Amino acid sequence: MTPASDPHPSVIPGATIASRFRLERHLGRGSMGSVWLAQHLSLNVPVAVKFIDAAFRDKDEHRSRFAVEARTAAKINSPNVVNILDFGSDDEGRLYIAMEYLEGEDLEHLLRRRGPLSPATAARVISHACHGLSKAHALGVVHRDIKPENLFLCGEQAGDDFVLKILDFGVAKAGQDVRQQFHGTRVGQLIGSPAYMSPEQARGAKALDHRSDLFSLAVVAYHSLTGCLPFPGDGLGELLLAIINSTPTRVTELDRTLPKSLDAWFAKALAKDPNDRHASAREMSDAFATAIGKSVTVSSSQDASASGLNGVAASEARSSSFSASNNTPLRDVAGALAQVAEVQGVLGVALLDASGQCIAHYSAVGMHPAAFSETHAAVRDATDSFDAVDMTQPSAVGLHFEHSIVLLRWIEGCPLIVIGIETVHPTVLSVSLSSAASKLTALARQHGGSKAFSRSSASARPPDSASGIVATVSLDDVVPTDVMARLASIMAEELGPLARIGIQRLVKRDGAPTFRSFREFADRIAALAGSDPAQRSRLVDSAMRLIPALADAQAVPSPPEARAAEQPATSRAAASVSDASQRTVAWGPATEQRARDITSEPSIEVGAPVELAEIDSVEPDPEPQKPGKKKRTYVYRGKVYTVDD
Amino acid sequence: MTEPKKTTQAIMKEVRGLSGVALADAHGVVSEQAGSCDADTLCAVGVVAGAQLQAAGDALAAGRLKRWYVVTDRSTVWVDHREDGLLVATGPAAKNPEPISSALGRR
Repeated sequence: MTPASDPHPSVIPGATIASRFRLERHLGRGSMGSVWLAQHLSLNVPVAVKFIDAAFRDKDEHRSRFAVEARTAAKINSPNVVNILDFGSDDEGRLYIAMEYLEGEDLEHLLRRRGPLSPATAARVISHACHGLSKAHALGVVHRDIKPENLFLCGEQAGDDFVLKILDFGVAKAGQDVRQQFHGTRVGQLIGSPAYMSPEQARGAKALDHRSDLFSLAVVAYHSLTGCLPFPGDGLGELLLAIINSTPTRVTELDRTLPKSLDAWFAKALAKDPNDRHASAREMSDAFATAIGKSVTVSSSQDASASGLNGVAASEARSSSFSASNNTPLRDVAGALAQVAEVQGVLGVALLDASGQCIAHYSAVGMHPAAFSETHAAVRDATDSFDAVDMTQPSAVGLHFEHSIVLLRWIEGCPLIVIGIETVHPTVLSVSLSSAASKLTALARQHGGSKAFSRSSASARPPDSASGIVATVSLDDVVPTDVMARLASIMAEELGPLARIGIQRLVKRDGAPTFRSFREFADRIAALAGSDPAQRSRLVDSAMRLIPALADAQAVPSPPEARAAEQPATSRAAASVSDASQRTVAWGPATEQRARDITSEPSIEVGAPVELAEIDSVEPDPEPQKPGKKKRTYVYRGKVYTVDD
Repeated sequence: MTEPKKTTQAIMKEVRGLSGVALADAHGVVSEQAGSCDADTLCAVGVVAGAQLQAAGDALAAGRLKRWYVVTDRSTVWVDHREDGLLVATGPAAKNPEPISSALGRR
């Protein structure tokens, strides 16, 4: 339908809706209405505004469904679900939903344009979709209409550098409050797109759970890999019968290049009985990654999704940080660590040998393996004191600091250690670590004890391991995408979806921040909090804790005497790292050298705290440069330090 | 040996899975206890081990050590550092010691 034939005469380019949005152009049509590109008048950002058609708007059922779509999607905080910005009705009673404007194309268009996807691209689609679904399912929301048209790929599809967003929760059903508001679906009424329906949907079952969505996603996967639907049918009745009764052709018969293991994956994912399917979206995504031959699975990572990395790609990217090799035991070690690393708020995880040396580790913020060894040494010294109380060796230790949580488990005498920010959910982290410990214990027993870990690592040292540096991060390094995703989550909790959009805009315009500019970046986003300085300060503090030690250590440019006056009592790392003589093990020799370089910066002057009212009004350098004299600006704990370059 | 008092008794009642609870000052001197545990030894060990664990936090720029626990095959010891001392609790080996740690931190 064209804009001219839109049922709302006043819905035309240039029209203002609810004094908030100015319509720019018609984007397309959904099942119940039209979608427009609009400009948010006060925020000056592009948004997509969806209207319910006049034919539907007077029917309670459709108004309810429209409201359900808005409220359901708004509850789900995931980078893989479209962000809802506003919902309401204008002066003429038109219901609208304002959501983030997405650039890209839906999977249906992509499949038409490019044909079947490669297994790696399909894995990315499944990984992102599963992440979004897992968030919805955790809230008790079942989408009920998963199909290629509702999976939108933002970004560059040609290079597979896309982020998938789930659209259209218009037929979603949730428990409790949403259900009470939803008058739409009568028992036995078919809701959803028939070709992608689950058998229970096809039967018109009243009770659908998350496994129905997983079945639909498996149909999408089948379609994406083969270009064919698993349950073809000429008419609706024939199609529904096929979904309920028939067994689909194996994908390897349709495409002999596909791995045989995918047949087993589809057999499970497309099982008629929900009890025979994957139990969760995450399990389904991990199983797919395994089926296409990826041993390390972090497939449902929010961070990976937000960063534009799919599970498999993230695994591959992360494997460079692991001391990984083709040796099977260590690859499994990396997989176990990856499971822990994907818990939101984890800074690093490591498996040490019995003497405390690092066997394998991963850190999103570039923590040196020695940091884990040093932490373990302190814990070992402390627990020695417990001989007076209990002579047996500890099996678990947990430390709750102001800014971090440290948990340890022991596997056949080898410590497994994870370090997270203080906001990480301790029970989630503990359970995740225990699960990894169980896997590693089984692995060790299978391969002749914990020596298997060391044997694996002996052939797996990265080329530069002689220098003791596995992961070195400098101030000018770009902040890892994992951290950016966590920043988005933290900001979105208080500021709503606008924070994510603000971050996306800033990154698009200026690029991702470096460790040096991270505080300034966080401050700009926190400026969306408006005039509440306490909230802004709290947000920035939370953001800074995402990169605690490194940022503190390297962003202090002051000489020792000035530092003593300026430095808060809690920033012990700043002192210990910037004074290399007091610290023998930190984040690696190169970092220490960098710290020494910074402390030798010639002149310091302390300026006013950064005050940023609008993200658009801020330029990267708040301090104007004098002609002929170049200055560099650091922001540290709310103060601006300007240094002659 | 100190007499049972209100705070530790209340904790014993409210937090399930504990066999003993003790309160001590910053030097590990027990001020009150409830249940069955060697409170003097536990609190002394809590102070010494707490200082060593703080070293791990210093190396990580993790800030002040608020609370911690150690699980062995036989028992679990939870320690919660407070402004005026520490709370030490003990119980059987816990599969998931975090909930009790959090509960003690809230007390």
